[in-house]
Amino acid sequence: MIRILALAAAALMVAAPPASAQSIADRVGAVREGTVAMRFRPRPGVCANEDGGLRWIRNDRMNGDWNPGPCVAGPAVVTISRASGDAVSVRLRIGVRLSDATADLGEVPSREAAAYLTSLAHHIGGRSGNDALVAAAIADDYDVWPDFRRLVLDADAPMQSREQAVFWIGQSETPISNLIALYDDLSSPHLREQFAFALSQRRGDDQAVDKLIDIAKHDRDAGVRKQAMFWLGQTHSPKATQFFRDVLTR
Amino acid sequence: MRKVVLCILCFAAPAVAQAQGVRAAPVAAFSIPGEDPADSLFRLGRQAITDNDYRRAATLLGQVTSKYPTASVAADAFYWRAWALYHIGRDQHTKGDLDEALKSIDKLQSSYAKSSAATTDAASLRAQIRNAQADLGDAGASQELHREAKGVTQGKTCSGMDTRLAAMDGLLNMSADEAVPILNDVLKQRDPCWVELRKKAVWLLAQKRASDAVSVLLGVARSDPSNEVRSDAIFWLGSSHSAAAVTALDSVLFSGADDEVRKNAIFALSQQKQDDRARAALRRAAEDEHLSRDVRNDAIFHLGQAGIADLDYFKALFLKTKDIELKKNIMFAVSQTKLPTSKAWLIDIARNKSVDIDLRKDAIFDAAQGGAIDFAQLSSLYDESKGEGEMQDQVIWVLSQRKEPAALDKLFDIAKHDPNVERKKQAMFWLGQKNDPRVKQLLRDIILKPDSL
Repeated sequence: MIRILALAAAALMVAAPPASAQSIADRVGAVREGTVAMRFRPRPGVCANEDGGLRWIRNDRMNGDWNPGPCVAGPAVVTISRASGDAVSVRLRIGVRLSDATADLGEVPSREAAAYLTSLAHHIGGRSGNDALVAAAIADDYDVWPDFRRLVLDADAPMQSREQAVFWIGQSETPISNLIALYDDLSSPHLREQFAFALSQRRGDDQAVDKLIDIAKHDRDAGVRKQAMFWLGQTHSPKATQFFRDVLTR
Repeated sequence: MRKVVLCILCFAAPAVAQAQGVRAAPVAAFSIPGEDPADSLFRLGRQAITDNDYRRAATLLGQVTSKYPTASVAADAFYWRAWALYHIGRDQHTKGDLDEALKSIDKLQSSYAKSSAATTDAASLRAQIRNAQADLGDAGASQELHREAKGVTQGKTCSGMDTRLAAMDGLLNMSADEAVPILNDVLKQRDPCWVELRKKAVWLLAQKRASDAVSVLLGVARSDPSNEVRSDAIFWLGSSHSAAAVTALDSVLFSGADDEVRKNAIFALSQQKQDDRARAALRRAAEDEHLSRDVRNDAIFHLGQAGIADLDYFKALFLKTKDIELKKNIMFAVSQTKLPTSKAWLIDIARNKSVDIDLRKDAIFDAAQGGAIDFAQLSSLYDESKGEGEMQDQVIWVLSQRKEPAALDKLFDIAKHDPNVERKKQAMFWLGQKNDPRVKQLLRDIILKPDSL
């Protein structure tokens, strides 16, 4: 009897490994209906104002809600609503305590959380896809480039998620050469317009300006060329000035 | 350091660009799969274009079109080969390259007619190629362009303007130091095709608030060949609120050759009414018999509308002015002040039998516009005008448009007691439009006891 119980116990251990050994996807997937919460460490400079608006301050740049009030740092808290075994909604907040989640995964590794949230954005669009990608982008110690690139190139993913991914690749620390190489793979004019904007935000980068000029001159789509010119004006680069002089006076 | 604010959660950049008039064109784009040799050649060709190595691009893309005409990138290769050859031909004045470019684009349009390359930008590139050929003396291209110019809108013959207009949007984001020299160069282009660009340049120049913007705008206001561009320049001069602008506008007003431009100058000056010289310029314009009636009318209107001139000024101007239309406008300008003294002056004109009857009728009308009116004066004016049917009818009409009981009383009085049947009829007609119980009684009396009236 003892032997049987021991075997049964061993079998149970195999069937239900300890929470720490399961992936986030598995743990979230275990909840068919309800809300799953998790917390992870955001990048330095991420905080939330009194209204819950997110801010990310780094070097001379700031993303997010501009509010002169205090900004409080804290963990990134993501809640995922599940229905019939599918993730139907994702929400991101900073520093709040949650008490009503069906399952609270507690603190999870930021990189793993980011990778999981990016995978959700392949299927969820709208605000949920947006929140998932923002959460991934602000996750500490996470290189957005490989996963976000995959999302950008996923023709089945919601266009809004793909556009967001282009934006966040531009905002990330990924080398400009990666960003520039991405352009040739962007079949959709919407993505290339977004790309032009993302490129323009790489302030002071000569290669970014060169690429924007290239797009302004050569992109097949007139709308993309226009966007590139519009954003080129914001670079305040002498090369951009010369480009405009050539176009407008030749 | 300037802070860049981007909204993480709402992510508004494309919307900003849309708001600036930058829009996306729903055009299908090409895709580049990985390993195919045609794809590889195509990629290299596109890279060569990016590197401005157009000759190499034309060669590589030519290999795609000749060796792999059924490849998925073939149509795009034809387009970009034409593009590369066009640039070489245009920049190096080589007719052969332009001819080859034309062949490439024609092949695209005939053999790949349904491709996105053929249906989107091919026509525009073809027009550019033909323009470049015409510039090099190609008679066939010239004739073709001439034929098209006769049959199509101006926009199609002014090639490259969409790109230039898009570039102007880019200048919007640049600093004044960066943008103004380019804008000055744009404003020097006198070709009719450049009118829209020059108008945009004028607007941008005004937005940049550069130190020499006023002098540049003045130059445009005086000498640009387009009336539209000159007018825009004057409008923006008016909004600059600078002393130099007033001098400039004064000069445009009195030395310009075009009435529309002068009228714009008058409007612009009226926007600077705090400046003594602007007010003086408007007065001079109102008095200047060398200016057209239209221009003087505008000056009079703005003098009244902006409250620049007082009643004494208008009285003096009225006496000096011979033109009836101008006099009418002076009375109208006076009526806009809605002051009792202004109304009294207008009634005085209406009473003055030495004044033209049309003016007197207008004076009654103007006096009755807006605000209170002295019914005793109006009533006595009616009585004084005995024998002047037109004047009395005008008073009756003015009374009929008022809601005050005094106006109705006077109309009853006329309907009942005026010795002139025509005046009675007029008064009864207008009373019939009123919803007043006394009117019903009056009409009953007239019908049942006509002798009592």
